[in-house]
Amino acid sequence: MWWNVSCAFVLAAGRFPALVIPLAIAAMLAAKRRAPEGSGTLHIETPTFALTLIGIVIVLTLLQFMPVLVLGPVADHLALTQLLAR
Amino acid sequence: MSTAHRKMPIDVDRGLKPALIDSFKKLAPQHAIRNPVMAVVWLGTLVTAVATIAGWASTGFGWAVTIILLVTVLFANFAEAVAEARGRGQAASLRRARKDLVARRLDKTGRETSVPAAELRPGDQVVVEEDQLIPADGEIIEGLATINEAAVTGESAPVLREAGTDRSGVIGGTRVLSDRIIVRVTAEPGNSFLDRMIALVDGSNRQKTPNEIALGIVLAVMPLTFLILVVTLPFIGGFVDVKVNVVLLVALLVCLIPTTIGGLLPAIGIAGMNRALQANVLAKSGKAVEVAGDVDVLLLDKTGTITHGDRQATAFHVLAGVEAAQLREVALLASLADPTPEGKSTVELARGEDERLDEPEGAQFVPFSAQSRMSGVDLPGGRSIRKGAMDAIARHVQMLGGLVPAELEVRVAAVARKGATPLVVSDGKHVLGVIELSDVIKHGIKERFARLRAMGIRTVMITGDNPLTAANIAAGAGVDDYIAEARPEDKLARIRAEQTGGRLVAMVGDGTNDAPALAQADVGLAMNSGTQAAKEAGNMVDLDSDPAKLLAVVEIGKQQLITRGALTTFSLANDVSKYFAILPALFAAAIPSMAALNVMSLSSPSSAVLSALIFNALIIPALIPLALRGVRFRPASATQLLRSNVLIYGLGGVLLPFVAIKLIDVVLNALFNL
Repeated sequence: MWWNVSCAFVLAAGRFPALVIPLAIAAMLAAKRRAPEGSGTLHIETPTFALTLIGIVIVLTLLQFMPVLVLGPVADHLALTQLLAR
Repeated sequence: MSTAHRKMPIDVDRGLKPALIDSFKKLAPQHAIRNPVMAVVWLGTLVTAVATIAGWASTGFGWAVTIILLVTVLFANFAEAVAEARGRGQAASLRRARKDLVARRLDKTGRETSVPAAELRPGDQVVVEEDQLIPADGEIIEGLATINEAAVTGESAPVLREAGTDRSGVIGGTRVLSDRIIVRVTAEPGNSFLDRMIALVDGSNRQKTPNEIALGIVLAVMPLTFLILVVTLPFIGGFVDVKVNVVLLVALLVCLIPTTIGGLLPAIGIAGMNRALQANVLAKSGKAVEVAGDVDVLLLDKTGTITHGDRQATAFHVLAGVEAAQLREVALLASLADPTPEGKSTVELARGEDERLDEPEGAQFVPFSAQSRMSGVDLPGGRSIRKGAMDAIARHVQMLGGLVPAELEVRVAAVARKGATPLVVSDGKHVLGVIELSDVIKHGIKERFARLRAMGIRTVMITGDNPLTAANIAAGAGVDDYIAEARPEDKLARIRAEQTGGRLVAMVGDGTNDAPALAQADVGLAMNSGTQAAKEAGNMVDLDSDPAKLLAVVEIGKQQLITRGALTTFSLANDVSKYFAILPALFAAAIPSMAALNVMSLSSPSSAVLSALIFNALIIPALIPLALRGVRFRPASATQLLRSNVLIYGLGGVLLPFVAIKLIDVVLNALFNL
């Protein structure tokens, strides 16, 4: 019972406040005036933009989660391969 | 960008020592807090120092980390200090132009008294004559004069300033070359327009640009997220029985937060204004320079921008009964000694159609004066040749007993209708014909507009000409659009219309009637030769009075945005390799198999951490020149620019530190045998 409730609370606390920030940014962007497209504006439907965006998302996510990833699954994997090699 | 770009003499050597001292002064908490990223590093320094003293880490390693962190903060402060010192150097060289002057003040009765320039107050009237320096900023209320503004603008060619025109503004410290003018002082001494502009360049009260603020927020949030990561890590580690050292945690945090961009951000902002100043543009704020980088539409006044302000001879019109060759010869004689653009171009035009003609012996040149409104030459034997405005020549001819043919008026009217200026030529008491003077499109202006178009900026020409003439010039100059017969309110309306359409508008102008438009536009570039009102309304002043300078400003603005983006990308991309250096070191003690992640095969955990931190510190001074100069910019589509910069600074930013950290590790081992 305590586990369920506290877990739900932590999940909610971890998820929703974090969502508020992107929503606030989206609201700010929506309020801005629309810039007409021209040769000087960045076209977002190009492979360059898509790859850049994906790259940024991967790098930033990696930076945030890699230490925990290393402590958990990666360490686990390394330990297992060592056991198997023995 | 055609006019002489006088580079401000920047004494970098002189700036280095104060900059070093400044970097230490900037360690003060009230300054450090303004830059969140570097503030975190500064705090980290204190934490590691305490941890080392408390004995939580080995003494040698702990102090090494502490010192490297302190040096990182100092490097960041140094970057800012160097940029500030350069700005101050430029401001000082501008100020040097302003010495103590003596003014000849007129009182109400018209009597002259000599007073120091510092005692002049706005509203005072001063007389300035040939070869004297103008004591203060002001406006000419009587007379006209040629003035050498080289001391302020670096432009050696003298400029003409005249009362009651758009070009009536004069600048303190510039020299009058000819004639006598009466100037009404418009500025308090030490508070003249240029003084205030120079103070802004000093960087003491620099405004942050919107882009800088946005990036500042990102850079403030990022350390926060990494802080959460680093603080939670020991607990997660504790769960799997991995103990983590405090000093190592601080090292990890410092390596993760974007110190490179955090340290260089203020320098980039200051450098933008400095680069504008090097192009001889005084920007009231770095904000204006940066907004220029995003401009979509450029409005410019035709006269003096697209065409030469001075009119040049383009055709001869002969009256009935006069030989064409005779008119050419006389026009040539009248202009041979005439140094004005009108005179020179008349000579060129006449010679181009005929054989070479030289100045006859004993000719007496009669220069143009504002009173007679004509110029010419008196030849031996009483032959007097004149060219000038129609009414002036008519009076001159009638005085000599000649008649003005009725045909002349028709010819003059025909030329005037084309938007050109008619110049009547007379030989003795006979009127021979008319020289057509018209505005010639500036050489190379078409290429500049093409360059602007390549950057995605549309150009709109504003002119008082009739639609026909306007269309001709617009086609010749290659502008995208034009407004003919424009009144000041038309300019304003056009700017508002473009802005409602979501575009950023730049306006180039010099007249008082341009002032509202300059104020309304997102970027208002006023010409230094223009009126005080225009200069006050705009947010930039071009000291060279070269309207095409906006091109340079736009490039500087774009370059500044790109520099900031490139260095942010580089800074974040660096983190990947730092992880590969620090993470294995962090857990090496608890999980030996972690060595598999040590892809750079760094010799020991402590040397891995130190190498990463040293790289982190050294990259800041290494990039100072780039931050001050800005990344290379060429006109290309935004997508192309993004691609090339992501490849250089993104991919390069991931790969370079792997090599650099490994190198530092090798050197550290050779030196200290860690």
